[in-house]
Amino acid sequence: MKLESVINLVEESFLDLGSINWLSIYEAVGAAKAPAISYGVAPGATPNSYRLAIRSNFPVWAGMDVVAKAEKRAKGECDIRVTGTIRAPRRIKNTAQNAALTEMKERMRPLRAGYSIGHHEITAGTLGTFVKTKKGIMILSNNHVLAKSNMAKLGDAILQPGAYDGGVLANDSVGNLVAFKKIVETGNVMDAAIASIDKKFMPTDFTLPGIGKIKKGNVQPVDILGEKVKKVGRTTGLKIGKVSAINLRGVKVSYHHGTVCSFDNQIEVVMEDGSGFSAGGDSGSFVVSGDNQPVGLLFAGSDTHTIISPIEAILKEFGAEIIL
Amino acid sequence: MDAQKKLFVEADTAAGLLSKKLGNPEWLLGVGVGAGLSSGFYISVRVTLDAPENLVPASFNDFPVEIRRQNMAKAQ
Repeated sequence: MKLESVINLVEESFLDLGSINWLSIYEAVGAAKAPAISYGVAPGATPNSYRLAIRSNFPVWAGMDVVAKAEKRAKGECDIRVTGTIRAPRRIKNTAQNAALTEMKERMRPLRAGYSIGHHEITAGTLGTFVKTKKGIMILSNNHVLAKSNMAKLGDAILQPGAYDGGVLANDSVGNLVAFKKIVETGNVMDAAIASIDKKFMPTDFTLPGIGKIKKGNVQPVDILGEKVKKVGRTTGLKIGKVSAINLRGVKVSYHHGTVCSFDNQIEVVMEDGSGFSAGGDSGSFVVSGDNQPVGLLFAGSDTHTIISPIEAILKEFGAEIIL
Repeated sequence: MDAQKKLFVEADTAAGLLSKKLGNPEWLLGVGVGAGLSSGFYISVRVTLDAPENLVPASFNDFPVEIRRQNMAKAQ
């Protein structure tokens, strides 16, 4: 199965756990510790294929309702194992995400959102999404990913994957820098840039890996305050976080060359378990709401929080619209 | 405008005023709006881990102020 299909199955199967008669399992297995079942992603029989992983800390039996349901959904493409330790439900997402991690750093032709990309003289960031402008279909990511934090020249080559992930000018130039919003000391509202795409690498799939089709919508920051948002990025793959603050003014961000710049009207995202929503290399990731409507572009963060620029101002800046 | 949106606009206006009042000291990392469990809004203030105590009021213009200490964000 495709990774996206397995991730959907993980979520659907997880909902079944609420209907389990745990008392009967206690009685049947006599478990000294609490019985538990979890779902995740396991490698499939062929490269780039995946199966539904079912893990329990007790021997499941044939016909056991919750396992049978999952097997049926996955049409038998399951990997069932008894393990010593069961991951908490929160980790199921991470299991699915981990399967995508190495993939997001690879060469991807045609181009696809979520994968490694960057100006030829930087390390690597994330290809956020694709936008339509008067000049054609463009890559949307950060200024510091595509335009080397104001230091690039229009027309400079963009590599996929980024140089840190093995991209080289001779083989991996997929487009050229077209425009960027200059980052200044204060009053910034975005860290964004667009790049053209060589015809040979024009995308055919505009979905976000692990997330799916982007939906049309005009989500205002106030509509997602306290709500879940998702992103898929080059370093940490798929993550689901929560919007903890909006309309943040004076957000200070440290850039690689040591300059601190401040941003207004920004969105802050945290993970409910206190871990990071993003890490170095995730910059440029496109962030969507729980129902896949555009929210913004990820560009900065720490171990505990991530900063997102609202998408509306970015699209206006470049006269662009998201390709759904 | 429904009551919730109106309340948000008031909280956002208060956050803007507090931001101006606090200025741009090194320890201040951002001022915005957060939402509580009961859908009430509060002013979110982000400060550095080593920011001095008592520089930010506990409430401002009738909105509670949530102070979170954190590292400065880095471009990723």
